[in-house]
Amino acid sequence: MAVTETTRIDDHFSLRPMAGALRNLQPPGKAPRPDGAWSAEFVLYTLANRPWPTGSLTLVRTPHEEGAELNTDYSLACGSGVTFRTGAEVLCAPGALGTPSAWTVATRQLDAQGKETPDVFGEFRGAYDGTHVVIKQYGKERSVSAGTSLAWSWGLFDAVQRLAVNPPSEPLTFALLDHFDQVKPGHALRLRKRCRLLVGTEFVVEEQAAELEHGTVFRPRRVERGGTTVDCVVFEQTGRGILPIVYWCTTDGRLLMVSTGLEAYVRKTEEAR
Amino acid sequence: MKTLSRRDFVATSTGLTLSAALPWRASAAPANAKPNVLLIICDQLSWNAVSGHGCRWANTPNLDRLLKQSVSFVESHSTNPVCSPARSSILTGRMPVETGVITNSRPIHASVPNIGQWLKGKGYDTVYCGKWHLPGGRPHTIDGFRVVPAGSGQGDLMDNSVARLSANFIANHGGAKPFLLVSSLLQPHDICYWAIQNRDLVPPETPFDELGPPLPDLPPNNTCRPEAPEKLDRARGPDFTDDQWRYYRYIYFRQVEMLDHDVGRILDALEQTGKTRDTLVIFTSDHGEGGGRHAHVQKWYPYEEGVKVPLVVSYPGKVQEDVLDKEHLVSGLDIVPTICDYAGVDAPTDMRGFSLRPLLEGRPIEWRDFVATEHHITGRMLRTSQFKYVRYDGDPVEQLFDMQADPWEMTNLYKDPAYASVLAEHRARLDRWTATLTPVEPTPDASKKGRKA
Repeated sequence: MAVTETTRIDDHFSLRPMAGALRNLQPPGKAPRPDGAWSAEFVLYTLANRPWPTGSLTLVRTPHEEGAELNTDYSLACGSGVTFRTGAEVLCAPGALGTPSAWTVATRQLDAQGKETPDVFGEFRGAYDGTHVVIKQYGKERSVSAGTSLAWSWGLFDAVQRLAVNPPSEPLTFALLDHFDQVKPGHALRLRKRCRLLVGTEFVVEEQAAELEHGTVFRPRRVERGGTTVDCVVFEQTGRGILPIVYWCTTDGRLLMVSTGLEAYVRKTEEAR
Repeated sequence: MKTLSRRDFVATSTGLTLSAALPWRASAAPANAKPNVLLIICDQLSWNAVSGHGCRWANTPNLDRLLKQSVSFVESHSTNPVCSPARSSILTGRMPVETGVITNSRPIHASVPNIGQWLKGKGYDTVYCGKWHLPGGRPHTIDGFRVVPAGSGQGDLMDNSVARLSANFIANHGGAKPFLLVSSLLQPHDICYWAIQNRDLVPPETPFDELGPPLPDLPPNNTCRPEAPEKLDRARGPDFTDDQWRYYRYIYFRQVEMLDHDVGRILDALEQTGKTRDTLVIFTSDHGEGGGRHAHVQKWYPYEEGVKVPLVVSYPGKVQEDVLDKEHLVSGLDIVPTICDYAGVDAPTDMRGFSLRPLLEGRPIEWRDFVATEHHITGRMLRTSQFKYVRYDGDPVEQLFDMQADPWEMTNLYKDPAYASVLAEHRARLDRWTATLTPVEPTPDASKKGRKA
């Protein structure tokens, strides 16, 4: 699929609600190898009336002979300096989706001084055996049918980077492991398009002449100037229990942003490790 | 680069300190002790948006699981199809004119105790996690409750942390005192924000073309707008095409499913720590969602889509299981009296609702024959088993629907001479009900703080 279309941020439905968070987006440098060792940090925005930063997600990928280990640190602001944190270590199988095979998760709340609230701390383990997810939590096991193809929420941030380099011709179908313990069946990840995205533009106010009955008047007009294009690959995910998700990647395999219409992730930093 | 096998990974955590001896506290409550109370309040969930209640467009396995263990009331009504007023009733057992919360973003009047204040002094650990909106959305202090702050933002950004922290609290809770935990989830409310943010995202053709065939059907009253009082008529939805409505509904049902999985997290904690049998679980919503019925989005109207909400109660061994009660008219007003009844404490004075306990336990009882709803300060609705009557003070247009013959509320009968006596009877009933209430001065609207009059 050749890149033929140039898209402005305000042109695309998935980017328009988060446009305020993308105004200063600069063309990224060369991406780390998506199948290599890397770390990336995303700023998390809530999209109420305008994008509002509300947390962060850090992913650290380490490939090894059984696939990769993908560690996550998710931090959500809860007001007055209180944060909700989810830390996870996930062993991912080889393959396009980065199917999770085993994981450990800890969830905690920290006050403004970083002190943990003891009675709302939790931890659990999970594993996927090819058909079922087993969650070991609260001293017991719970098994949930998950079908023969499984992906996990933030694991898809890794998967789309690898898929961007070699996009699939057909949709990938799977069940979604949501926040490490709930299985949502009936998901599909599709390549929507390639396009050239215009980023790093500036808005300037210019006066525009308008001919009226009694002469010429000049009206201020907000005009977008400058910017650079980035060749992008766009994926969409739909399925049970999620709002449609749109992933924007560079063609060399860097995830730039993710939007659901209610929340958005924008890449802040990344580095090869 | 380290090599780690799946077996090793499951057996030992590499960085996280997963406890060898997990600290989770299983239930040790004696059989006759006061129950724990888990009150799950969600936001903008219509009664019939749950698959266990017959919805074909959403899959809600966790709510369906709860229904199997519960009594669920079909004729359950919000006291006001707006967040704050409805929540004030759920938490106090009083009508919004009596709590002072007649519109959004007002605090409950100081003279009216909430259920946390009431039970805290009666041997309960009272904890609140999630949306409050009386008036602040997510305050860190609430009278009567210890607050577990959670979430920041819309949808999953709120609810996952509310569910997880609630689940962790349940699992960790020990000691002699039972708990009252209010887990207040935000979804599927944020269809409101989705619609605002994505107003342009609802083009004539949906942006996700693969969604075509599974998009939900339209309700039969999608284009129907019966004659209505002005304030009600003004609250109309957008001029969507059929496909746009279907896409809007698709998004709403996905948000219902998001809610379902967060409810599942909380229920899992109860079940896996063996506390289910010691816990009275009440699940409800503050109000419903238009979803294209009467061309409406959101709430703000006393049509069924705005006021019919789930009210689901489980307490294994005490409450009947897998019962769908289609007969009794119930209300958010009934929640506080029910909690107090099972907690073995007197309810606060002037409760407008009743304990559901006889209905939940299948005992015969003479039950109320109407419920009432307030709306938009001057609007009132009275619902009897057959009819719904709506009026707004000062507006000559009223509404009367025969809910048995016309469940989609498509024919307003208030001008029909054949129903003159029914209309008169319902007017009189509403007058009598209103006269029993003790309104307070409306509390200050926090959203208008600092604004010029």
